[in-house]
Amino acid sequence: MPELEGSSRDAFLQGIADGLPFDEAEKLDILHELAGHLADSTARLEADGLTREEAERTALDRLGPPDRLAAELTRARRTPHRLLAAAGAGTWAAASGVIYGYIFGVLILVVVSTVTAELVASVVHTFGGSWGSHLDTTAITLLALGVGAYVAGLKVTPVVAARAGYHLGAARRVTAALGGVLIAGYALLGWSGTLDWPDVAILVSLPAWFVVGAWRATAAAFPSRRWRLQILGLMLVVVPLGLVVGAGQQSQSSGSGGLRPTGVERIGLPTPEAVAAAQGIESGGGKVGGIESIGTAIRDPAVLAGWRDLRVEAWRGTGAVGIDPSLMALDPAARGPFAVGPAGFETPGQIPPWTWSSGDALTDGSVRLSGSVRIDRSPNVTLAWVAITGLGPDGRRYIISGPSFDSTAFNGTAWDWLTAVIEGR
Amino acid sequence: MGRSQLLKGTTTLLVLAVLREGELYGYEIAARIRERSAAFIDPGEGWLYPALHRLEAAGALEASWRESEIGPRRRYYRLTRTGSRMLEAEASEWESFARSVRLVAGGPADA
Repeated sequence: MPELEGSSRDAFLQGIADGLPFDEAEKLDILHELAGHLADSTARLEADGLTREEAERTALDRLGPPDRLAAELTRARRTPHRLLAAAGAGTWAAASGVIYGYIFGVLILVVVSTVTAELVASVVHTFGGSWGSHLDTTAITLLALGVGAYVAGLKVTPVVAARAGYHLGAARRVTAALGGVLIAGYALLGWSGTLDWPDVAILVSLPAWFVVGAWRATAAAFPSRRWRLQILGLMLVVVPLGLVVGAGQQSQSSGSGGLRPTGVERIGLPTPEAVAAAQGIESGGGKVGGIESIGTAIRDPAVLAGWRDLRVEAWRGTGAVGIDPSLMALDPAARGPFAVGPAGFETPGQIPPWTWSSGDALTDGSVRLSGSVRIDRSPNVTLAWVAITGLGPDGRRYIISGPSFDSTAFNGTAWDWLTAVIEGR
Repeated sequence: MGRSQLLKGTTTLLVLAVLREGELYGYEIAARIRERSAAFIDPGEGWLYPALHRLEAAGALEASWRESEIGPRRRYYRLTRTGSRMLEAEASEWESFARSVRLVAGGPADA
């Protein structure tokens, strides 16, 4: 505050300061100018014969009510140029806020999760039990992004308010709406990776983290000690969630085998003897980027004359790869395949659209029947049974090759996850 | 119509006109207008600083702080090229307006 004498001038200038939505430096410039004016005006009026008190009061009266003057000064200084500057400064503040909050969030989450996990393990061990968990990096990353979004909301609102020349309340509504929409877009469509429902829940909540930050923002310097304590408290609440998610995660492994899982008859009738006999030794497949491929060599393609709708089907399985094969089965609740892909005979020298094969001709003159299906776009599928099937001449569906199994996990955006749930995949 | 109503339409012209002669700070601008108008235009200074800041934001004025030998430091304003062009336009418009008002009121147009 500029040098002031007298409580009425103090109150006047304080009223001006309270009514200006600008940053401290800009406010001080305005206050210095008005304080100078008051000093000159008071001196002149005193020279004209008024008492000090009368002169001061008259000088203040000539400037009018402080709230009105502050409002007019604000309007006068609010230009389109300032809005552009506010957009730029706001973007920078948001970006630095996300980075700051993300790093802070990761550090806190990793440290607190690890310490908590060790403590829980020690307690369980003391009572003769065993308990193990690993950090779920996806959940930690997303929670840290949530902290980043919260900090961005805290930082961006006062910056936009001061630069654009709007009071915090008005700036809050704009930043919360704009930032919320942008973050919602990123959370639903931008983030892609291995997701389960807690991850999707965190992603969907990201706009709310930002909006809460924007709503709680003050013009005070950031970050404050109080803020750090709040974040620490928040982390202590959400850590159990991270641990639960971590404990529920299954390690990813892949493989295939000639198991006949319980419920295989729901995929199709057993391979007809003639078709089975025509199959060569070469068969195979595998998973690349969530796409499971499967193939078999047919010595005499004529054996499938009259067959139609050849395709690869993926069925939801129960059990887990690498634990006990006898526990692996088709999910009794599965009414049909959760995913279907194309299958067909390959033409030697041409790479088929389902991309598994190199297209090389087989040495024994057989023709390769192959296909592929995407198995990483269905929530809650951790084990998939994959088979080539086709409608036989009698119109019934038979298994031609397979089924083979593979572990999987949902991979995609939150939007993919939500649409898959709505469509019942 | 009161003087304050008349002042609203002539704020820009008055400020730019007194700054044509050189740099002045806020209190001096108000005092100069009061003196030139023989105290006819003396509605208080609440209008002055919003007008100065609006003209500065519009590029018509430039401002700079200077230390003062007596009293606090001052914020001096000076006319820019944009301000000079704005002054010409405002003065011309005011002349046309005043002539029209005189004609309507029955006085000589070139008074």
